[in-house]
Amino acid sequence: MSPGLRRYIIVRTLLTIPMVLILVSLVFIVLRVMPGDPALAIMREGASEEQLAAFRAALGMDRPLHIQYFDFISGVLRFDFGESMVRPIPVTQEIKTFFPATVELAIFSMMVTTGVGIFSGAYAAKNRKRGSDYAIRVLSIILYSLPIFWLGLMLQMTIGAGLGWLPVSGRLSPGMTPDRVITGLYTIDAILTLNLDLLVDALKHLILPSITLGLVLAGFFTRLTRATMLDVLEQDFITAGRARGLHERVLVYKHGLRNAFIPIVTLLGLQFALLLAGAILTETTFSWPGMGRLVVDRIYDRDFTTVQGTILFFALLVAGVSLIVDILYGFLDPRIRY
Amino acid sequence: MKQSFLFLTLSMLIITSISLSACAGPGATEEPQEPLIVGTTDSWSSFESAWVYSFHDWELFHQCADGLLNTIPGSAGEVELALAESYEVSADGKEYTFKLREGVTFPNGDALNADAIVFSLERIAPINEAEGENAGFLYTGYVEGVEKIDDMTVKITFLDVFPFAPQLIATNPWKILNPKQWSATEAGTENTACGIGPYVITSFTEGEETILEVNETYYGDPPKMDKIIVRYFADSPTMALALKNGEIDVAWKSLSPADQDALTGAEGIKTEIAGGTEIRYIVFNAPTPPFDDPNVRLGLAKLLDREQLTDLGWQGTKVPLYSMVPPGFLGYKPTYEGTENVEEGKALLAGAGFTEDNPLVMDLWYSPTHYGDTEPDIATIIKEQWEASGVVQVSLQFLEWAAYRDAGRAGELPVLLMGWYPDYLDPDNYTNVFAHSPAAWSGSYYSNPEMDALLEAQASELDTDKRIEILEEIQDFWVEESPFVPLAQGKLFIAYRDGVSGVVLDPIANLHYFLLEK
Repeated sequence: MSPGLRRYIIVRTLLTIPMVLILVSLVFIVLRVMPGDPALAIMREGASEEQLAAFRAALGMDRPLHIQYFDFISGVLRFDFGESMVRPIPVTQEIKTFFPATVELAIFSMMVTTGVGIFSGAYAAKNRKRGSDYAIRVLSIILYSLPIFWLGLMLQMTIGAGLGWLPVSGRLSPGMTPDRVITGLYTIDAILTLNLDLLVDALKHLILPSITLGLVLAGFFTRLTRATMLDVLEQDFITAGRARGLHERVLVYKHGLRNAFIPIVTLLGLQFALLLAGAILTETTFSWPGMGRLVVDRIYDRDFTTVQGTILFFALLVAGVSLIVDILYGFLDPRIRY
Repeated sequence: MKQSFLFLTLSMLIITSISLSACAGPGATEEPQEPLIVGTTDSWSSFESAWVYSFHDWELFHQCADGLLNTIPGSAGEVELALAESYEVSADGKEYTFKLREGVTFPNGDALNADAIVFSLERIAPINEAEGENAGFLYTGYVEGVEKIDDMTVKITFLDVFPFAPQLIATNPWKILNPKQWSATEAGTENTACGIGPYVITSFTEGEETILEVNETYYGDPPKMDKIIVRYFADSPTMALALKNGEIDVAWKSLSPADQDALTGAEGIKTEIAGGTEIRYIVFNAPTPPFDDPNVRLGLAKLLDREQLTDLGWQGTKVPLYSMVPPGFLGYKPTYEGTENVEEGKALLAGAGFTEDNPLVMDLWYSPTHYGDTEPDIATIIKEQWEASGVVQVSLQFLEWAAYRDAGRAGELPVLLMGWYPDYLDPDNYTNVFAHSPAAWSGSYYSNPEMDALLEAQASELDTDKRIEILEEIQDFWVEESPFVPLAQGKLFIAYRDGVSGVVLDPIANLHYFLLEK
């Protein structure tokens, strides 16, 4: 690693800290300024003032706001996000429970996005101004503008309930449980424990939600890949390769696509935040027990600690991914010097 | 090259495994009884019976933990002996002495005895203190103490005479737990040990499923199914599709009106509807003029058309309610029946000074999502019904639930729409809880010594006939006062696949898994 790159990584990481701190402070303040008392949202309808006061005291909500804030920040520095208000469970445990489902969905959705988006974009570029190019461009716009929940519902109604080919909800069939939870990603756990039934079941459950989330993002990547590829395909090294008699497929998909990857990879990283946002809708549509569902449920409960802990976790994740992408950028493009 | 090989191998593995699983036919070996799968959009919040206060948590406990008394499935709150073999009530009506069943054990083999009863009930107070009092008030709010008489006898002393004490004893916080499996002072939020019930919880994955398997040592009738799986859904449409797709056998709480419509009459699906315990009503903030005048409140009540509200607004998912006490409960008297009369309503409002020339200009508040997406329609229909009289002008106002509850409770919303699920199945919980002064939690702040006296009288009357008389008197007086105006009673809706039987819907609003069969 060059000294320049090392310095860049350090500065970039240090810059992430105030960014995350500002975001978390905003979330902390917004949640508390927002109307709605968590005690009223969580406690039973007929609870008396005394019972509500006891509940607030049990959660530490009766303390001054700045004390609560500093408590929260000092906890965060120790990777302690506090305890859920809905139940006495650490927020980190809640995240640990729900995060693997979201990661698994994100990975498979990204596979759909890259598979469909990048290859259809490259194909459209190769066949510029032909029928297939126009068709792919129109399709990509349609995909990008489709509401995720609508696409999900259509897939559920046709392939799921209509044809009965695939399940419409959940991560596994009822009663199907991993022999041992190692990573929390059921496909990986199934491979690690050599449980073929589990692997098949997990894959079946992943297909519809991954296609839903992946296809919507694929529309954007198709257009991006096409545009980038068109630039690359006009460059001298492609012409030279063609003159040397390289096969067109090799020229486009090996040399052309590789050079078009730099902006694609960058945006792939940036789209990670979009993927997480999309996961919230996809998880709701497919009853997928991930972080999206956790956040939505806890917002309704006014569970401040879980919401702010989850958002902090998301922020760290997106910041981390952006950092990794920026570093990868340097490796992918030798011209970039830090 | 290596990558291509890896990709090819992985693809082959997946394709082969899918093919193999598709080819694997049933009956290759003797299959155990297939589990019955219940879908729900409710979510789990805790396994701590002393604290939790949500339908689903109570429903799970209902399958795996009995109390001294249990509510009888299919009844409107009637109770039967469960872990108690018999009980006696002292002459002053405050002391209940329970004789426990002999030979009953917890699923792990530990014997049930008086120590377990005392332990289970005494731990409620410290847990209330640690976590904030929630469901535990159903014990601590009514009981002075519990005492072991001998190994198989306990005495529970109530703070006062409560004719609905057996109903309280059948509630969730009163479930009996194993002292060896539960802490005496700390909430067992994730403790799946339950107590003594037809089922035991063998697996729980939050947001995914709960697996209940038959309790081999259960003292009562064994459940019909060896295994029940509860499957959690994020929304109603997905649950309805899962039922159609055969992923679940039963779609329980809660299907939206649109999904109820879609499933009713669908091939291979049966549906059932029953009266629920949920009620919807209007709250008047009694100290705010002109709603401090009972004639104004009753006048507005008379301008309502409940049939139109339930048919049009709630799309048939609720039925008109003519008393705060729903049908089926002790002393039910539909005193609002026949009160819907526009001319009489106008006359009452005219008496308070509101005419076509000087209409009553008012706000009607509602919360747009908490009670379902039909709520804006309900508010609009009420506005239209009131305005059709020509003597009322209504502005609709709304707030999201959390803010709505804050403002309502603070008495800042003069007229608002609310709903109620009972804490225990007794008319007291539909009357006393609402109208006894200071009536603060609801935002009504209604106070009337005459009403207080009646409510207190029914709450301490052990003679059922006399209590019915008082309850009827309360309901008559309620119309005159109209601090809260009943609108509708919720209906329970369940959909299940052909071949499922044993579905019993009752006001408890808990599905009895142990009666289900397929």
